[in-house]
Amino acid sequence: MDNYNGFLSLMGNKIIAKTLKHKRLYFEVDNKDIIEVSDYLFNKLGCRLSTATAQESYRGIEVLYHFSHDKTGDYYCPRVVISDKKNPKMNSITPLFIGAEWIEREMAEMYGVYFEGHPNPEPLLTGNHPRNLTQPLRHRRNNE
Amino acid sequence: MNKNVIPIGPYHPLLEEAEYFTLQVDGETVVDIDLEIGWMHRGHEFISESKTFTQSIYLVERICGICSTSHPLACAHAVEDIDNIEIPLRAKYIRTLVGELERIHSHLLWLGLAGHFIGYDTLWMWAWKYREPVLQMFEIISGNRNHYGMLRVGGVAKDVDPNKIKGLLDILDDIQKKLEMIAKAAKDDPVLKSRLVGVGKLSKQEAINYCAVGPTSRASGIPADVRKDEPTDAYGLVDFDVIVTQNGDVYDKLVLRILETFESIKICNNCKFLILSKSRTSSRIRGRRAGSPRPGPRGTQGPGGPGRGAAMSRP
Repeated sequence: MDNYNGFLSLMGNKIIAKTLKHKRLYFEVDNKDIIEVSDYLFNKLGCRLSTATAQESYRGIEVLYHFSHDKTGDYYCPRVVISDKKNPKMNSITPLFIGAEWIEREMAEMYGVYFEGHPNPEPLLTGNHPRNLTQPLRHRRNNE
Repeated sequence: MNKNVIPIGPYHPLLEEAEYFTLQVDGETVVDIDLEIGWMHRGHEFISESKTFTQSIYLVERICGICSTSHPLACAHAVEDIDNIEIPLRAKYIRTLVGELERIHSHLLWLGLAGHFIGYDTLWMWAWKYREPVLQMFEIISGNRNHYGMLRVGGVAKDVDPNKIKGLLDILDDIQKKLEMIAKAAKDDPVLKSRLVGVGKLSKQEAINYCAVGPTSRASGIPADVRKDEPTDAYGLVDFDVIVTQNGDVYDKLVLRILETFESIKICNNCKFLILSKSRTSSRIRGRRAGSPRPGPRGTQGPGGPGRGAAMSRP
């Protein structure tokens, strides 16, 4: 946890819950704070967005960004939980840096998350699909 | 300005995967590009939810037709990380050897394709000709030219016969001499320079903003290499340099890949541990959880029961 102390002392008031697993810091932030936290991680700390993952859970849809600090091997993983499963919405971090564009577009078409402020919110993979896909691909699971 | 539109794909002999590019060209200069990449979305993440860890490794091996080590290696590392499995030293060296051989063949494949795309078929034929011995090495090691199936959670699937390593390293020496010839030719070649210098330039700041990794970022002057920054397997035990070039154009990417191939050959030569260690081809290569006692002698079960975090060789 020592490596993360500097970050935690600065951003601690924005972190709702945190856990350290396999030398990676996972923490939950509110939707309104994700841009500020990402800005700090990317522009101040010099992290690289490795990838982002979305998952549907009983709490809602969880979007987890993985920021890698390549020089030290540390990982900062902010998580945003969107409780409204019918109309999931969250702030986009693509305006901060272009590297987040494709993964947010993919999460949008797979999980139906609308990323507010995304400069190009079009489907990444299913744009030319022969069927008119009007609902997110995860929808199948809601029927289970 | 008179622009022409050239479609490439979605199925094209030179594309590794199905993808569709719409190029807007002005004379010989590409001024804009539109791409569609969802032509073969197979949903690996969803399929793997219903597979065991060992099955997942075979599945992710097929994400890419020619990268049969990188994805399974990442998958095996993830599972080993979750379960704190420590793999034997010999398996680490085998993984590194296979990974670097794959880098050599992948870089040579890239070099050949780059040569063909710019209409320089001599380079294409050279690169693919000297890639062939690498594929033969894979056949000797794993039995397959592609999709080697070498990785398991906790180790590797097959041992490498120590008696064959010497012959393999001799093949590599041969490839090195041929590559030195290509490197020398590429360095002074006016065709390559006129076609590639200043083309497709990705500046350092752009590479950071696009979160680029690997040779793409190193060609733009970012000295990031996961093998050095976060060494796994035997990468912390072998000696190699991180190659960085500064301009970020296609020429620098080409030079970087040629130079990286030499480093990969160096790493393979560092894997001489495989000759020196006394393990036989019939020995088992087993993983164990960190902190747990070593598995018993052959024929007995490890502490986690049969097959737990273990990978057996099939000689």
